[in-house]
Amino acid sequence: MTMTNEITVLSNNPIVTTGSWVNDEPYLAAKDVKEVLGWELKTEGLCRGDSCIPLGDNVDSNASDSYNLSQLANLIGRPSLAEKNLGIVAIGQSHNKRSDALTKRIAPDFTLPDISGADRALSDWAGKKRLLVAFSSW
Amino acid sequence: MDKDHLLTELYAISNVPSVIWIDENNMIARPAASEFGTDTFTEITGISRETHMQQVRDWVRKGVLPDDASYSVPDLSEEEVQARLHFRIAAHLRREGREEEAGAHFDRAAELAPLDFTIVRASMPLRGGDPFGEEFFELYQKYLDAGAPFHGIPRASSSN
Repeated sequence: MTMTNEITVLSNNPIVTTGSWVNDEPYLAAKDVKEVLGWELKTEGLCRGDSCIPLGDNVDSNASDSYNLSQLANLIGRPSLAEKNLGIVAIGQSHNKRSDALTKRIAPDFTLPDISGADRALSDWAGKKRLLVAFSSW
Repeated sequence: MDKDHLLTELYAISNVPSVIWIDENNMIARPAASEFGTDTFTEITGISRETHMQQVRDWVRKGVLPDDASYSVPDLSEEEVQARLHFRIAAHLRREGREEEAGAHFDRAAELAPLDFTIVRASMPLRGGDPFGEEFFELYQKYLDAGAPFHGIPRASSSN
């Protein structure tokens, strides 16, 4: 019998969901994958819009229709770090987006809150020249 | 407000301030470079704000790019990617008041990316340290001794 646990997934925003740990690997129910990764599990594979990536032998699942979250993230080019003792899985940004930024010069879009808490996206200023300034308030 | 440092992953940023120029077609016209809005730190960095501001004016008004705009920024290493994930876990734990557990992940992040300012210096104030104190200047000296490595246009390039 597999024990279900609360798992905090640190993706773009923290999401608390239920899942299980198998050999120190985090497993999520198929129905919860979309909320965490933005990609949905279908019979064709891991899908978003018209795009589907077959799971093949790359993603383990169990009899409870749960799937290895780290392997699913890896399938879409996102690194992860699972800490069973903390009940936390951190999922990084897409390697493909960063690679496109560095090699093809395509600026990846992102959304972050401004100082008043309102979401702002790079694409809000599409069609204009922009300076992306990363700094700290220290 | 990028409290989880998403941009450091998306754009391979490892120091601040870093400035990236993005054009009307959503293409990166000039990759990350250390640039400043004031001359407050010129004595330490040797970087003048006016050089950059004039380059920005030339780009906006005339479409002229500096020679260093073609510089290719290297990708993050696997260790640097993992460091960012440890930092994210540490920051989350700290927000939950779990300081000791957070400290272990800040430490691991710093081991993996010891000269990355978005990791090591950024964690200083989160751990009660002074980002302008002795700890910082020790980091800065190590950084200089290592040849000032960061993911961006080197200051020795032609724009300076």
